[in-house]
Amino acid sequence: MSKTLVQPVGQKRLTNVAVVRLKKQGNRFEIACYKNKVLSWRSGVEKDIDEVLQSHTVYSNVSKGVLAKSKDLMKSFGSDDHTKICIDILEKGELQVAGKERESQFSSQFRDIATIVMQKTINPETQRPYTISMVERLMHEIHFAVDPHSNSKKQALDVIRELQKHFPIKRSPMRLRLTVPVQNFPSLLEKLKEWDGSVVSKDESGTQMSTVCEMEPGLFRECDSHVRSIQGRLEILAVSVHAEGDTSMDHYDEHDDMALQTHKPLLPAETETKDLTDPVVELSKKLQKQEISTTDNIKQEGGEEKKGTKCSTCNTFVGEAKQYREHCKSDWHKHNLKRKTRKLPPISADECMSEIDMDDSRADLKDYSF
Amino acid sequence: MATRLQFENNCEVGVFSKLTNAYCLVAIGGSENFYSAFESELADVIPIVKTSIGGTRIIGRLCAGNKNGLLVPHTTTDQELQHLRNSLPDQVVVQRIDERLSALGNCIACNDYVALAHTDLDKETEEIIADVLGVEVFRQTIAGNILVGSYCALSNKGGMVHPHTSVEDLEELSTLLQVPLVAGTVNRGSEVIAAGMTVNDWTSFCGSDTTATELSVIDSIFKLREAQPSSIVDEMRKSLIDTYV
Repeated sequence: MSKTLVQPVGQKRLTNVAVVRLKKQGNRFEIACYKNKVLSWRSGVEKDIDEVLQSHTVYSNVSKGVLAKSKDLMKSFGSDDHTKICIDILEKGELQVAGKERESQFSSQFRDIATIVMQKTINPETQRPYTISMVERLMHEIHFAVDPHSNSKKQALDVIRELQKHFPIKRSPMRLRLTVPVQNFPSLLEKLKEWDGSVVSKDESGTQMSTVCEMEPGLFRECDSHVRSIQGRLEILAVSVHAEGDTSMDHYDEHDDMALQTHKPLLPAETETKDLTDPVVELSKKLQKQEISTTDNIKQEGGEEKKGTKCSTCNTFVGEAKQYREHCKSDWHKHNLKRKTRKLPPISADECMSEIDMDDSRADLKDYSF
Repeated sequence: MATRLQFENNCEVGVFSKLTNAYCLVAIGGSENFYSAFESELADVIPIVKTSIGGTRIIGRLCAGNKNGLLVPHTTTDQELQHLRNSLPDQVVVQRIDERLSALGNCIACNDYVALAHTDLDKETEEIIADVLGVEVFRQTIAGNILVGSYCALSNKGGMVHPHTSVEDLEELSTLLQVPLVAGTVNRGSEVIAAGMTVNDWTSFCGSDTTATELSVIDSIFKLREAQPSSIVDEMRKSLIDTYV
């Protein structure tokens, strides 16, 4: 009786599976996970194990639905707790990453590198940072390829070094405050000159001389060790310095004045002042040229408005419609109209008067002969 | 609305008729179909006068007129002049002109306020035109043609000129006439506008060869579709009273 009775068997089917597999003591163990979740779990973003595992079961072959033997589990992991073993496999197993997942990872890292490059660089001409999209375009132009195993910051520094060969881009300077004893200050100044740094301000209090300066980030370690050797102290005020705000004539004028005032006491500063002045002057000239061209445009527009109506018969410009109608009643217009019908060119008002007088004289002569 | 008709199998209806806002002249001795077409459109509003000028039927090309007056050439006989004076309303002045250019319809194009004149008209004739028709006279050419009366048709609402008129000339003429102008044709491409059509402020008559496209241009530029009986009553009150009395 019971042998002939047939009942349906319950099935559980898994879809959209990412397989993590682990080989241990000659046996293969697999678990079924959701896509995109294994990396999240490993990076610590995802905390809930149920969001990662599709089932709390350890398989020999996920696609065929073959479960792992309890004997093998005991031998390899020392227990038959499936959930605990699943977590172990998640941590140590190897994962086949999907194409879109890999692509997303690369683009995320690429953008990360671009952001670091943007924050660390400036345009030498304007002292302002480039936009993120511009940096990305520059990186594409030098055919930069992301290395997934390397650090983002390290790759960013390499990119900056490569970009400097092709484009006007440079590291933005650091702003530091250096506090040293008074007797050691001259040697510090010599070092700053050697490092091509610029002194922003100088202050003296007691036996200590304090100065704020900007310099290349690559020289930070060297500067730090030198300041320590002369019993000084170093403070970082800004990791990267760049100008902010909109460009305007007043801004540059003020900048020019401030530069002149600030750099007067120091001899190296005077040299820098000259360097600073040149781009400002050039920009002023460019702005003035733009203004002049604008004025020319305005003049042209004004000229066009003044012309008004044109009489093609007399080849002259008349004022408004009323004046044009008066003009059409004049002898000048009538005479030019007759010439036009005879395919002759138009003549000016004075010539027209003389021609009319000539015609009158001829008419008088005809009357006389008659 | 424009009407298409022909005179004795000739499509140049503007040669055999003259239409203004106060009266209409048609050639004598024509087929009754031609006469009936005018009667059906205008009989209730303005008088339709059968007449000849100088013994000829091409009256549209010999006389020039508007609601204030009518100018006829020196070839008009006394009988014809008297017939015209008897038939037209009293405020219309009929004047005979001694001018060597006797085809006045070809030399003068006018509406009720402005007239274009041939460049070779005498100064005396110009003054008579200004007095009788009550218009401002301008000497002008149209697309290089001196026969301004043939190559343009004018009303108080719009005007149509020779198809080869340039945009610059159109603007100048429009400034003079103070009405919108368009370059167009009648009778299937004929550039002699006034010979192929006759028009006033609310109706128009064209030759039967005029195509539908040409008709639509005429309707739009002369604003004929906007004409209504109420506007006829409002604008033509004087003529109505005269007719009924």
